[in-house]
Amino acid sequence: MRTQKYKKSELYDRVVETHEIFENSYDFMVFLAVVGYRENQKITSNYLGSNGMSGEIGVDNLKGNELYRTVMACLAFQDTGDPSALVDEGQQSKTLAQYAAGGLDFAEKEFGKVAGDPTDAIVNYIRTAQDDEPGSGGELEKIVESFDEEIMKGT
Amino acid sequence: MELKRLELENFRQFRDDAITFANGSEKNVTVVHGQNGSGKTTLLNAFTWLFYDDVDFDTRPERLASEGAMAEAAVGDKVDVSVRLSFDHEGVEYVAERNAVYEKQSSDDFDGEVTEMDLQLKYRENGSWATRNNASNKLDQILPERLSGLFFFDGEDIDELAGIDNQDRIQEAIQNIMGLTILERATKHLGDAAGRFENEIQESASEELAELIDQKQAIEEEIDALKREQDDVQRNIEHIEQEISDIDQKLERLDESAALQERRSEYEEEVQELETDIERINDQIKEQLSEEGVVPLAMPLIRETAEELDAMRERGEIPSELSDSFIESLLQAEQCICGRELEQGTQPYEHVVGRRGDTIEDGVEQAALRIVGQLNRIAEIESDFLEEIDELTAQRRELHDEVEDWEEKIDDVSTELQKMDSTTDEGLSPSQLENNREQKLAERDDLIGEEAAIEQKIDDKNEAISEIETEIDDQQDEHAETLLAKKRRKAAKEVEHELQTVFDNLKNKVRRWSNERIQSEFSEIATKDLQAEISEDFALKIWQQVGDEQIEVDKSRGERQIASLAFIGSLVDIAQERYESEAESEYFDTGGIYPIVMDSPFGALDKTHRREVSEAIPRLANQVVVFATDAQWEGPVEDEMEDIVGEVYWLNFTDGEGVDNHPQTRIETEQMAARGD
Repeated sequence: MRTQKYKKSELYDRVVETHEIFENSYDFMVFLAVVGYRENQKITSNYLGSNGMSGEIGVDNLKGNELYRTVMACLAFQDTGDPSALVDEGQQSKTLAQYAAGGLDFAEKEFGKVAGDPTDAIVNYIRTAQDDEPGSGGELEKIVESFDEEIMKGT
Repeated sequence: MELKRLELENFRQFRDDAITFANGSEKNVTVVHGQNGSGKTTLLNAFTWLFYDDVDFDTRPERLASEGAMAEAAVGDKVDVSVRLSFDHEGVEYVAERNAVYEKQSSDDFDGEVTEMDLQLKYRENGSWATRNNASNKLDQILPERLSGLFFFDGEDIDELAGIDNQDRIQEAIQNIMGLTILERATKHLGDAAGRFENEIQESASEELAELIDQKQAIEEEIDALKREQDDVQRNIEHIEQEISDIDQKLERLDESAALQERRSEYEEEVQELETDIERINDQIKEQLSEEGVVPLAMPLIRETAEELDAMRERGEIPSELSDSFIESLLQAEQCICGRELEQGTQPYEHVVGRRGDTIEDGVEQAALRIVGQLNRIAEIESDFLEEIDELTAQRRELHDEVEDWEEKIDDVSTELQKMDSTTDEGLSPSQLENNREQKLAERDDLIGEEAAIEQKIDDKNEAISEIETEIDDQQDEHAETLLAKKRRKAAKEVEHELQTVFDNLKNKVRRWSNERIQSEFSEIATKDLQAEISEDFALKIWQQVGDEQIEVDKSRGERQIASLAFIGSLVDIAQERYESEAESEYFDTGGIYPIVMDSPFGALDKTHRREVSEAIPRLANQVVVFATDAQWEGPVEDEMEDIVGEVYWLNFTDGEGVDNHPQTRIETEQMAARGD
C-alpha cells in the first residue's frame, strides 16, 4: 500500500482524537490542504515533518473518496500547470502534503489557540471564507455544459 | 493448563486436605462451598503462594502456618507448611510444590519464623519423573504472574472492571494478555535512553546548546510539578463533589426541604438531558464538518481548475479521446457529467453509446472530465452544508436557552431553601445546609477553573519544549561527541515514537477483538436489550438501544459483573486463540489455555443476575473453579449449574473454642458432608 508522510502538530491530535471533529487524520489533512491553497500557503521544505511531528496516511484512503481525489488532482494541476498532473499520483500526494503543511501553519494561528473545542472556530472560518467568495452562479453550468457537449457531439 | 489436584499441609486453617478438580468438556466446573470465614480466600491464596510466593489476606497475613500445628509444637520445633498442585500443561504432567519450614520461637508464638523455603517442579517424561531447574521461572512461564489477577480473582470485586474510571485496569489487562507490557517497557527504556544521550550532549556541547538543554529540562521539571498540582486539584474536586452529594441526601431526608430537593433533582436531570441533546448536536456538526466541511473551501480551487481545463480543451491542448471504461461508468450511473439523465433508448444515451470503441486507457481527459463532473455535485453540497450547519446551530441555541430557563428554576429552589432557617430536631437547618452547598459549589467551580488553567499551562509548556527541541536539532555543534550523542538521542526518540505507535495500534487491535467477543457474550446473557463494549478510551460501557439511538445506561452491579466476566472470558478466548494459532508474532506472547478460579462470584447479586452469571461462568474457560456460600449457591445458581458440576466440596470450619482447640477447616466431599450432617 502506498503511503504519504505529512507534517503533523498537536493540532491533529486535538482535532481528530481529543475533540473528534474530523473522523480520520487524512480527512483533516485534505481540509488543511484546501485551507493552504486558499490562503496561498504552501511549504516546500520540511513539509513531511520530523521529530515525532510527522504522520503517515495510506494513499488508498484518499483515492477511495471521489471528492478527495478531485481535490488532489486540482491541487497538483494548479501547482504544475500541467494537465498530466491530473493522473500523476506521486505528484498529487506530494502537492497535497505541501499544501497541508502550509494549511497547518495557518490553522495553528487561526484556531490552534482556541481553548477547548475548536469546532465553532472552524465553522466560522468556513463561513467567512464562503462570504468572501464571489457568487459562482451560471459560470459553473457553462463549464459543465461545454464539456458535456464534447461528449454529446457523437462520433 | 489443566488443574488436577491441590493438596494443602498446615496452610493457614487447613491441616491436611486436598481437592481434585473437575475436568473434561461436559462437567468442567468444581464447586467449593464454604461459609464466610471458612477458608475460600485461603484456597485462592494457596495458588498465588505456590506460584509466586505471594498472598493477600485481610487478617494476620504473617500467619501462614496452621495455628493448630504451631500450638501443638514445642519451642524450637519446626512445622512444615506446603501447597502441592498437580496439573497438565501442553501435554506434560507436572507437580509443583512450595514448602516452607516455620520454627516456633516462644511458647506464645503462633506465627513462627521461616527457616527454609523451597519450590520444586517435577514433570513426567517418558514415564519417569524429573525435576526442573529454576522452578519459579518455569511456573511464571506456564501462568505468568501478570495474568494471575485475571484467572484467580475475588468475584465480589470483579464488577469494578466495569466501574467508572477503570480504563487503566482494562488497558492493563489487555496489555497483559497479549504480552504487550514488553513493548511498553521497551518504549519506556528508549525514553530513558534518550534522556541519557541528552545528558551526554550537555557534557560536551557548546554553551548555547547546553543552555537550550538546561531550558528544556527546567521546563520538564515544571511540567512534572504542574501535573502533581493537577492531581491534587482533581482529588479536591472529587472530595467536594462527595460533600455536595452528602448535603443533597441530608436535604432529601429533612421533611421541610425534601420536596424542594426532589424538585431540584428533577430540574437537574432536565438540564442533563438537554446537555446530552446539545452534545448530540455538536456531534452532528462535527460529522458534517468531517464529511463535507472541505467542500465550501475547495470550491474556488475546483472551479479555477475546471475553467483552466475548459480553456485548454478549447485550445485543443487536452486530447479528446474517451476510453470505454469512462463511457461505461457514465452509462452505468445513467447520468452524464452534467447531471443529464441517460435513459436507455433516448438520444443522449445513444450519443454516449456511440462514443464507445476507442482503444485508449483512462487518461488526462477522463480525469479532466471527472473534475468538471464533480462541479455540479459540489455546488449542491456546498449550499446544503451551510444550510444544515445553520439549522443545527439554531437548534443548539434554543437548547441553550432552555438550559438557562431550568437553571433559573434551580436558582429559585436554592433561594427558597436558603430562607428555611428553622432548625430540626437533629440540629440541622435547610438554610444552613443550602448555604453550605452553595459555598461548596463555588469552591468546586473555582477548582474546575484552576484545573483548566493548569492544563493550559501544561499545554503551553509542552509546546515550548517542542520548539526548544527543534532549536536543539538545528544547532550546529563542532564537537564530534556532541554530534554523535545528538544523533543517538534523535534515533532513540524516533524509535520510541515508532514503538509507541505500534504499541497503540496493537492495543487497539486487541481491544477490537475483545469487543467482538464481549458483544456476543454479553447480549446473550443480559436480560434486557443491552450491549457491552470497550470504548476507544478503554472504558467498559453498557449501551441500550432506544429507537434509533444507543444510550449509555447506568450499570447495576449485576450488569457490571456480567460485563466484567464477559471481558475476562474474551481475554481467555484470545489467549487460547493465540496459543492454537500457527502464526508467530514478534510482539505477542504465544498465549495459553488457562483455568479460572473465582472466589464468590455471586455475592451481592439479585436472583436474576445470579442466574445470568451462572450461565456465563461455564463458558468462560475450559475449566472453572468456583467458591461460594450455600446461600449464594442455592436457587438459580444451582439450577443452572448442577448439570455441569463435576466435583463438589464443602469447607467445614470449626472455630476451635476451648483450650487445646484451634480454628481448622476440613475439605470434605459431598458424601462425607452429608454423613456429617
